[in-house]
Amino acid sequence: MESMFLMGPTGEVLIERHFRATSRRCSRNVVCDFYWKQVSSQSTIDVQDIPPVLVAPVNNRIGSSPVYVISIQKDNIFYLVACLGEVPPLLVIEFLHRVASIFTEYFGSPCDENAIKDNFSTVYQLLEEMVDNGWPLTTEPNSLKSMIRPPTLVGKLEKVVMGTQSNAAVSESLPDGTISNMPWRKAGVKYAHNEIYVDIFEEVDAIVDINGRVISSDVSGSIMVQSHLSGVPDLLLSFKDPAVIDDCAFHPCVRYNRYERDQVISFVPPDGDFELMRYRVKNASQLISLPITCRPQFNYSSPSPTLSVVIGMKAVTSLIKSSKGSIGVIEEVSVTIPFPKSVRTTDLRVSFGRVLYDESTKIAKWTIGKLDDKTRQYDLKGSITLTKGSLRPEENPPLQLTWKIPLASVSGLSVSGLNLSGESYRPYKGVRNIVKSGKYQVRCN
Amino acid sequence: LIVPMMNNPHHPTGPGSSAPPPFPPGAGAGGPHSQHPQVGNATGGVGGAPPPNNDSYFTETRKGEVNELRTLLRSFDKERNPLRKREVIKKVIAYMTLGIDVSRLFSDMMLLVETRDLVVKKMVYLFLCNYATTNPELAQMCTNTLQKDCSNEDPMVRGFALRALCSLQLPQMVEYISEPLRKSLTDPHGYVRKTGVMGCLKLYHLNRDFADSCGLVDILYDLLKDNDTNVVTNCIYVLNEIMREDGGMRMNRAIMLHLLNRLHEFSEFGVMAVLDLVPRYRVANSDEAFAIMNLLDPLLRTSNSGVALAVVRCFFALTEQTGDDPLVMQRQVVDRVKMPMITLTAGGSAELVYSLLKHVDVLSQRFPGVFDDEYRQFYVRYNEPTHIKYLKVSILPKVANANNAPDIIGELSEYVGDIDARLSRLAVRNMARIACSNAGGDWGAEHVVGKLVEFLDLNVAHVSAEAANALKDVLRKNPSLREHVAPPLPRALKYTTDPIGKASIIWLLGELSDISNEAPYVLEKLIDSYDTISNASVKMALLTATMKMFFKRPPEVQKMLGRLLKYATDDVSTQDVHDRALYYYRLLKSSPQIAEQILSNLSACVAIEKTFAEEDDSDMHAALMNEFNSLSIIYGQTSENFIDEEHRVVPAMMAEENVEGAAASLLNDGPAHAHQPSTNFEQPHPKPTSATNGTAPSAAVVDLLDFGDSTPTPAPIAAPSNDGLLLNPNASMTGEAFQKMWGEIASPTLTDSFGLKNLPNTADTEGALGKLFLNTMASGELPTELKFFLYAQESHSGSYLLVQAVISKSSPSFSYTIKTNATDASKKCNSLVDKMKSALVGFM
Repeated sequence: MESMFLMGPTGEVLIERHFRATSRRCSRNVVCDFYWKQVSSQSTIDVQDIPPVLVAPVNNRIGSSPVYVISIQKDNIFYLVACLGEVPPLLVIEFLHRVASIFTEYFGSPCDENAIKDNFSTVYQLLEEMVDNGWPLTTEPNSLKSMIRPPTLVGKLEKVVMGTQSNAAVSESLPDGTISNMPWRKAGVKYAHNEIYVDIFEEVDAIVDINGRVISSDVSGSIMVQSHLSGVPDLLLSFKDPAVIDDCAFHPCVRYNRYERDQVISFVPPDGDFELMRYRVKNASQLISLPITCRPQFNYSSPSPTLSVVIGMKAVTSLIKSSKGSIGVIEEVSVTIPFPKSVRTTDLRVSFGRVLYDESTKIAKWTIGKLDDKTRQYDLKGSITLTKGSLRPEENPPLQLTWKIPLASVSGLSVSGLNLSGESYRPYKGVRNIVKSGKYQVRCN
Repeated sequence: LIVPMMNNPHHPTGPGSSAPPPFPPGAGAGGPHSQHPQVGNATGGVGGAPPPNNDSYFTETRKGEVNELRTLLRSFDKERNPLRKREVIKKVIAYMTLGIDVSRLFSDMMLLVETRDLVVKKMVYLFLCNYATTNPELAQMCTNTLQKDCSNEDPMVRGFALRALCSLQLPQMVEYISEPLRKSLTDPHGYVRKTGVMGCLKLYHLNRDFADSCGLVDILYDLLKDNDTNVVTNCIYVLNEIMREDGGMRMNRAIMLHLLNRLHEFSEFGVMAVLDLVPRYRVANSDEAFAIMNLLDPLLRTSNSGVALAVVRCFFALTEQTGDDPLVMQRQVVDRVKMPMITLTAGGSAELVYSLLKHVDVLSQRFPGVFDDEYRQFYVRYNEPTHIKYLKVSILPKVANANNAPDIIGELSEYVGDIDARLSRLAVRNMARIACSNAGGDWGAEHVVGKLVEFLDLNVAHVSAEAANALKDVLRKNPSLREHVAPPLPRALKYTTDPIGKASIIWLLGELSDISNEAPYVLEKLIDSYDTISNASVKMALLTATMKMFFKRPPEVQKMLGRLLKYATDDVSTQDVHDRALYYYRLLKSSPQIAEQILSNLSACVAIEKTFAEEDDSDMHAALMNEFNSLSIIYGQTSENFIDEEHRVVPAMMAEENVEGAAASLLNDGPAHAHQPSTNFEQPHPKPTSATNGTAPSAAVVDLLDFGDSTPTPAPIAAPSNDGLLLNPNASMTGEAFQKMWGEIASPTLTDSFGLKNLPNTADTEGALGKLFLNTMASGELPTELKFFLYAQESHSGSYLLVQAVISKSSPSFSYTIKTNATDASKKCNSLVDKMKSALVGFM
C-alpha cells in the first residue's frame, strides 16, 4: 500500500496519508480526482456501483506506471488505498474494513464525515499504529485501544461543557502488551460485573416470485458476542445440535481444531463486541417456509396505472422457538418499493403503518411495524402517474422486505452450555436467538 | 509577514469576555470574524466563549490564518493548558490535510518537538515527516531531539521518535539514523523493535550501500526468531522488499517450519505475510507438503477472507510439489475450499463479495463442475452493485450442467427484462453460452434457442439485437438447431435497428436461406434500399449472405446479387465493402465452383466440444492459478500484462536444500532435523554459512499438529539433556521387535499415573512426546481412552525404553507402564517420566 485517502460524500479529501517514499506518485490529484470522476460518472444514484479495484492511468512527468486504487465504502465515506505493485486485493479490502470498523468503534456509529472531521487527529494516530511503511501493523482493536484511548463519554461531555477537547488522549504508558499468543486480547482487563452475551442471528435471504413461489432461499447465521469478562477467561461454547451447521468461519480467537474434533467452540474472547462465527445453515431451502406472504400487483396497461401490495402473515411452523410460547409476532416489517424511471409520481394509501414516497429516488418505503394477526391482511393501494410521453414500463423492479422475529431460529441452533475456565468468578450469561430478513426480495413480474 | 505579538488571542481580556479576540492587523485581510476559527478562544472560565466549532478546521481559509497560527505557535511557551496547546497543533495539521501549504511554519513547529505531551509530540512528528523533504536543513536541526527521544525511558516515545527519524527521507541523515536504529533492534520492548525493523527498510531505501555495510539483513534474519510476532511479521515484510530483485526473501527449511509452527501466534495480517512465503517453499517430500496442508487447513475457517484465499494459494502451490497430477490434486483442493468461499461470500461486504466472486469465476472455468451445485448463490439480487450483478451473470453459464440448466436458463431470462440494458444484454449472451458449451445437454440448447427466438420477437431493440447475435454463435456451434431459428428472422429484420443485431440476422438469413422461403425476398428489399444502409458491417453481412444464398437458390438470387455487387463496388463510403464486393465479383467471374467452396467453408461449424478460438482461455487460467489471490485474478490477466516493470516481483522458489534426513516424514521424526546441518537459521546465503547456531532451531522441532491450541507449547527440550538420559533422535524399531521385547521383560520397571487438566488428542500427545525422541509405535482411540505404545532408545548404550500409556477420557489422566532393558533402569525411567511430564505440561 502506498497511500491512503478518506473521502467524504462530496468528494472532499478528509484524510491523506502517504506511507512510503515512492508514494509521491499516488498524489491526491492522481488518486482522488480519478476516483471522484468515476463516482460522479455513475448514472445511478447508487455509488455502490464502483468496482472495488480500479486502475488510475498516470501520465505525468514522474512516470507512466498505473496506480491501482482499491476502495471500500462505509457510512458515506470512501476509503481508498493506492498501490503500485501486485498485492492480494482481499488483504487490502479486509484491511480497509478493519480500519473502518475500528473508526466506528472509536467514534461511534455511523462513522461519517463529521465523525472523521471531529476526530481527525485520532485518525492520524490510529493510522500511524495500524500501518507502517505501507504494511498492516497493529490491527486488533484491543491492543490499539490500550495505545490510543478512544474518545470517552466523559471526554465528550467535557468538550461540550468546558469547550475543550480532551479526546485523542494517549494513554500515558504503553500497554503491558497483549497476552502472549493472543494478539486479540489485552492483559489486565477488570470488570466489577462479569457478563457475556451471545446473540445468534439468522438471516434469511430469499427471492420470491410474484406468485409466492420461492426461487432461491438461503439462511446464513452469525454469532455476535459481547464480552465483559475479567482476566483471561477461557470459554467453551457448545451447541445442542451442531449438525445443522453446514460450513462456518471463525474469529481468529477460536481454536479451530477443537471445533473440527468435537464441534464445540473453545476460545479466549477479545474484550468487547465481536463476531465469533459466521455459518451457513444446512438444507436451509428445505428448512424454511417464509413467514410473510407478499402479493404485489402492478397494472400499467390501463390509462391510469395502479398498484396494490398485500402483506399477510403465515403460520411459521418451521421456525424453532427458543422460548416457551408460540411465535406470534413479526417485528420491524417494512417494504421498499422501487419504481421504474418512467414513473413521475405515485399516490399511495395503506391500511396499516405509513408510507413515504421519495420523488427523487422513486422509491416508496412502507413501514408496517408489527404483524401479530394471522387473519388480517395489510394492504397498500395506489395510483401511479407516468412522466409525459414515456413508454409504459414493461415491468417493475422487485420489492424488498425487511422483518425480524425475535426469540426464534430457523436451524434450531441453540447453545447448550457456555462454560468458563481459567477464572474463578461466575459471569452473567445471556443467550438470544433472532431470525431476520437478509436480502429478501419479491419479484413483480 | 511577521505579526506583532500584541493582542494575542490566547489571552482573552478577562473572564467572562465573550467578544472574539481582536485580530492582529494585517491578518485575514479584513475578513469577517466569523471566518476565523476560534482557536484558543475558549476561556475556560464561567460563561466563556462558545466552544470551538470543529467544522472550522475544515472551513475555507485565507492566507492570514497561517500567520495567525504562527502567532499562536510563538506564544506557545506561555500557554499552560495542554489541551489548548493541542488545539493549535491540531489546526496546523488540519490545514496540512486540507492541502494548504503550512510549510512556512516549519521552524516554529520544530521548536515544539521538545514537549512532554505525547499527543503534541505525535502531531509535530507527523508535520515534520510531511515537510522534511522541503526543508532539509531545518529538519536536520531537530535530529538531536529525535535522537534523544530515541533513548527516552517510555518505549512509546522511543518508537515514535525512531519512526519519525526514519521517515524524514533525508539522505544526508543516514549516519544519524543508523545508531539509534541498531540500538532499537535489541530494545527490550517489542514495540520499539518492530518500529526499528521497519526503519531498516527506510534506511535501505535511503542508502542501499550503507544498509548493506551495516549488515542489517543478517540482523533481520536473526530477528525472525523474536518472540513478538509483530516484529517477525515486519521482518518478513522488510526482507521481502529488500530482496525483491531476487524474487523475495531468501528462506530455508528451518525458517519456514519455524514460522509455520508459530502461525497461531500471528495476527491475521501477519498470518497472510507468512502464507505469502509458502508458495515459494520447496518441500522436502510429498509427505511434508501434505503435512503443511493439514496444518493450514483449519485456517480456511477464519472469517478473514484474505487469510482463507492465501491458504488456497498455498494449497495450489503445494499440490504442484506432491508429485501427483497437480490438476487432479488441485481439483480436490477446490472441492475443499468451495464451501468456505461460499460462506465468505454469503456474509461479506460488497467489495469482498466482488473479489471472491472473481476468484470463483476463474476457478469455475479451470475446474468445471465444482461449483455447479451452488448455482443459486450466483443469482442476482436487485440491490446489489451492478459490477457484482454482471459478474454473477457471467458465472452462471460456467456452473451450468444438465441438471440445473433449466433453473439457470429460467433465471437468466428473468434478467433479460431488467431495466439495466447492459445486464439484459449480458443475460442473453450468457444464455447463448450455455447453448454453445452444451452444458445443459441437447434439451438445454434447444430450450435456449427457443428463448432466444422469443427475445428476437420481443421488440426491445437491445434485446433483439443481442438475441440475434447470440443465435448466430449458437448456430455456428450447433447447426442442428437451424429449424428453430429460421421462422422469426424475416420479421425480426424489419424492426431490428441495432446494426450489429441487423448484421447478425442477415448472416443467419444467408445461412438458413435453404429452409427460409422468404429469405431472398427480405434481402432483396434491403438490396433495393442499399443507399439507406449506413453501417458498413450490415453491408458486409448483406454481401456475404447474398453470395451464400446465390449458391443455394441461384435462380431467385442471381439478379439481386448482380445489383448488389454493382451498388457495393460503386460504394465509395467504405473501402472494405468496396473491396469485398470487387473480390466476390472477380471470384465469381474466375470460377463459381471455387467461390462456392470458399464461402461454404467460411460457415464451417465449430465442433461442439471445442470453444471458439477467441474464448479459449485455458492457458490463461492455468497461468492465473499461480497468481491466485492477487490483482491478476481481478483483471483476468497475468501480472506481467499490467504491473509496471519496476514494481513487478517474480517470486523465486527457495533454493534446493540438502534434505537427506528430511526425507523421512515431518510428523514422525521431526526432531531428526535438529541435527541436520541444513537447519541453519542464518540468512540462507549461497555462500557457506558458519555452523554456529547449535542451539537455535527450536524451529526444526516440528510439531505441526498441535497448532491451534493456544495452550502454551512446552519449551522444546534440547536434544542432549544433561540428566543422564540421552535418547537417540534416530531411533527406530519394528513392531515385531517391540512386541518381542515387551513380552521378554516380565515385570515393568515403573507403573504410575499423573492427572491432566485438559484432554489432549492423539496427535497432540504424539507430537509432544516425539519431541523427546519418544516415538510412537502405535496408537489408537477407544471410546473411553487413548492408548499409546511408545519407544525410545538410549543414545550410547543402545538399550530401549518401552512405554505403554493410556489417557483416560472421563477423568483426564496419563497412566504409564515403562519397561526397559537398560542398566540403572529405575533412574532412567524416572528421568523419562520427568521428561514426559514436561512435554505434556500444557495439558496439566
